[in-house]
Amino acid sequence: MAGPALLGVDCMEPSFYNGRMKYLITALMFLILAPIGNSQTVAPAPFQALDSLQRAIDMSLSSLKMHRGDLTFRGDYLEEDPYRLPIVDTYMKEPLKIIDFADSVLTFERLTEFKIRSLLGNKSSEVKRAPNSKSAERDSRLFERADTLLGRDVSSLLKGLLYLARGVDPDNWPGFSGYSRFQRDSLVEGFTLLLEENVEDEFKTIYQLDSIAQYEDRWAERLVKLTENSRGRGKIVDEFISLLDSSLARPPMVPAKARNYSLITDYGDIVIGDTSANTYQGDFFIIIDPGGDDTYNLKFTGVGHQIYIIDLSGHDSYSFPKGRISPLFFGGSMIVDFKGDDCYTGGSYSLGAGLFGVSVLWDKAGNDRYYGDAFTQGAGCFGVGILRDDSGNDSYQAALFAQGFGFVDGVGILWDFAGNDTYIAGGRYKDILRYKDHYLSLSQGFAYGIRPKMSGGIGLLVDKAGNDAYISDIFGQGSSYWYGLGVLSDSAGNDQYVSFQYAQGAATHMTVGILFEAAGDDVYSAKGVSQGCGHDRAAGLLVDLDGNDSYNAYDLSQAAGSANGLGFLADIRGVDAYVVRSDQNTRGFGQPRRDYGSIGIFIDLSGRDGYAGGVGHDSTWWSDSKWGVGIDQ
Amino acid sequence: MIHFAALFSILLISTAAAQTGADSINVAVDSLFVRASSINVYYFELVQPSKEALGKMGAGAVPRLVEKMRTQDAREMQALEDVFKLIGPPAVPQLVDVLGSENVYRRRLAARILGELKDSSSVEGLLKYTNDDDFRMRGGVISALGKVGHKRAIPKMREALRDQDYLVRTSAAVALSNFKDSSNVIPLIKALSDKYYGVRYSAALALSNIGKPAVRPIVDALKVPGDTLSYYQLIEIAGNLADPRFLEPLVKIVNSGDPFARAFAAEALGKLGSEAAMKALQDRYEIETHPLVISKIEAVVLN
Repeated sequence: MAGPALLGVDCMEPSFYNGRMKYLITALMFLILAPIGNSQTVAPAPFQALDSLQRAIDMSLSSLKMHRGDLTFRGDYLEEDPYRLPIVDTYMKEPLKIIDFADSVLTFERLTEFKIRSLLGNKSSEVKRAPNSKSAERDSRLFERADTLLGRDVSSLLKGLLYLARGVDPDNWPGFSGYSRFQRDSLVEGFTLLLEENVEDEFKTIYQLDSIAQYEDRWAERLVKLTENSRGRGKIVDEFISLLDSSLARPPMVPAKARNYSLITDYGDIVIGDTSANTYQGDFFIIIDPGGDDTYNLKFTGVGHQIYIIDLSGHDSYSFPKGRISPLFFGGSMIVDFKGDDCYTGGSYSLGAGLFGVSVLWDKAGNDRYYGDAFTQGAGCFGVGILRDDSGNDSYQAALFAQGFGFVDGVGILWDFAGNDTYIAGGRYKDILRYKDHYLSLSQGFAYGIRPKMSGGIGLLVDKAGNDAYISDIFGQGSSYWYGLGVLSDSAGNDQYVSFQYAQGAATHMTVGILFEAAGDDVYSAKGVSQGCGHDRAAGLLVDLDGNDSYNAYDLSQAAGSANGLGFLADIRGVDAYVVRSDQNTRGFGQPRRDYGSIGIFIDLSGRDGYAGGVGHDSTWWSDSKWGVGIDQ
Repeated sequence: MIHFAALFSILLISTAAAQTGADSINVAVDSLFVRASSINVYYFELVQPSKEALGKMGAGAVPRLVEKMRTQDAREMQALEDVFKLIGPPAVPQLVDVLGSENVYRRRLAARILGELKDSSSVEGLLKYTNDDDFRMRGGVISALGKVGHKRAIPKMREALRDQDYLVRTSAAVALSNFKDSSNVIPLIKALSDKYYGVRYSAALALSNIGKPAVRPIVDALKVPGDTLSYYQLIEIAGNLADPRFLEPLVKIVNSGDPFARAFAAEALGKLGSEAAMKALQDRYEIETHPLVISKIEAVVLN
């Protein structure tokens, strides 16, 4: 599969665009201005903002002749499938509580705080099975002679990784032991089929497309039963997190004498590199590289692979296999890169993509670039995919199902701590159902399920600082489809959100999505079904706590409820600008469907705000539609 | 468009005629249905003509279409509904049979379509399933009965207004809004206190639709409202009924301490539209400070 059409990937010349200089200047300014800032108006803490929001919500509900219990959706509009995550039902039942969740993830500092295991619920095969004593004994013997050579850190890390690998090994996982070879192959083929799009689809006849749809439907039907034993596979993420918190909390000490050490294991080669610019070509199990600008050109055949790379410094280039079938299907991976401006290029199913397994990519420093196709950059399906980047001005580009994407029984997290980042999703697979000139994204804090057979997962994109740009096309930016949970939470910085449809806190078909912005002067731009829009018994929320923000949409946006959905937009502080084209279905709009109402709640709690087009004015209340209300205070 | 549809029919039916019997019809139906249920933007122009062509096939197409009702695909369900509406009454007997199907999607879809067909011959069949174990089916059947609008179903609808599931109760309230039956007034007033807004709003609409027979009970209820939200609904109903007997209570409410009640009363007084009602609104406008009430009064004045 070729790379995304948008991309011009060149990993050979890492970009140095004064990111460090900017950081130093910013830090200096902060130190100089901090005392002045402290003596002036102190911005309210988020919890205060949310308290005032709660009061406004109650007022808006009273003006709709409603109470909080009315804002509820159910898990049983259709027969519940076995893959519904409990947290999805929780937030369906009380959708406004998702605001607290979206706020809380911004305070997290460690992966454990996400409590991924509990996000995946209780309905699962038990996941943890310690390697049997024979394996443990063998592992211990493996490094017996090398302990002195490798040093304590590396030896301990290798043992930890080997222990992890035994736990990830599909043959050791009790859920998979019941599968025949044929059934495993079916899972691989079936989910590959469900997760792949074809750029040629727009040229197919109506009968070919129908045939494909029927074929996929039959596969989905089969997979519903077949995946029963795979539930909770993602819970092995605990083992990854444990290792990251212990052996990889700081860079391991690699003794000079350990360099160029290698060892063959059941899972492939273990290699310790050196500080020169190394090229790792082919199939590896563990690589620990102490330095140098390295090139990782990884290649695998088959499925169930595991790859663990610990790179201590250097501007590195990572390239992953681009085949149709993921070699990491059933397997796992962990990449921890401690330093350097790195470039990661994958096709699909890479860069923190857990597919019936777990995959973690943690880049701790540098201005990094991430390029992928589909199911990448923090994506999970019957598993967990995490992409964490701690600092630097980073660029994320992908086509589809990416950047915090949760599919069935999966959690996908993209977690960026700092820097001015750019997120782009789309540009490759046309949305031929709706448009001849727009592309599917389904990314950037997006959850997705197979309607009506399999509920979606949890997609989280969390960005803690920096002036960021988010660009998607159809479906994205804190949104979801079919019994999932899509969250995009951004903590600080002046951010830009651009999308076309089903985005920026949109939820379509019995699901929940939220775009949560804590601070900064932000700009939101979308065509429709966006900016707090819930369609078909779904809740879509856009909450912005602070900053002078601009909202721009064409129709069915800015707190629009459609087909018994809830659309919610709340802006707590700042002088804001709201622009819409349609005055029929925006800004606190609720339309009737199934003979009763959809709900739209628009709240702006302060500032001298400007309104263009549509209903609403500064310092007024309005309720032009029967089930919709707008409040500007 | 009609010409296009006719061309389709002739082309496909003549192709089918080359084969024999049900198989040939099935081939034609299958082919047309693929087009009729497409939501692909590239084939948008094929959809409506294909639906119309299927509609023209009439009763002959029904058995094959009924088979397709097993679908779980929303676009196919919608296409089936649209096509059955075009076929009309000839489809009713087979759709009633499908209500007893073991396939839950199929039977719920049958109820939904029968509601759209609004054919009174389906009432007896639908009534058999008002106590179905599946709340989705109960709600669908009650909803369909409401759309058909046959009085024989009213007792079952009133019974459903007390169903344990709020979606069924919502369907019941919606269904009752199709009848101007004074015996529904008291149960509907009780339903204004339902915990779910779908029931409350629909009951309010039903009471508004009943008209004059509802006035006296609503006036009485306004004197001793059960709870705040039902009180708000009663104020709205008073406006919808636009009876002069509501003037006095509404004037009191528009000057009360509850800004939301004042807002709804302002709206209701506007619907009354009498000189006295407008005078009360003007007087209130002079002293009103709450933005919601102000916006409601201004909306009345501007309209």
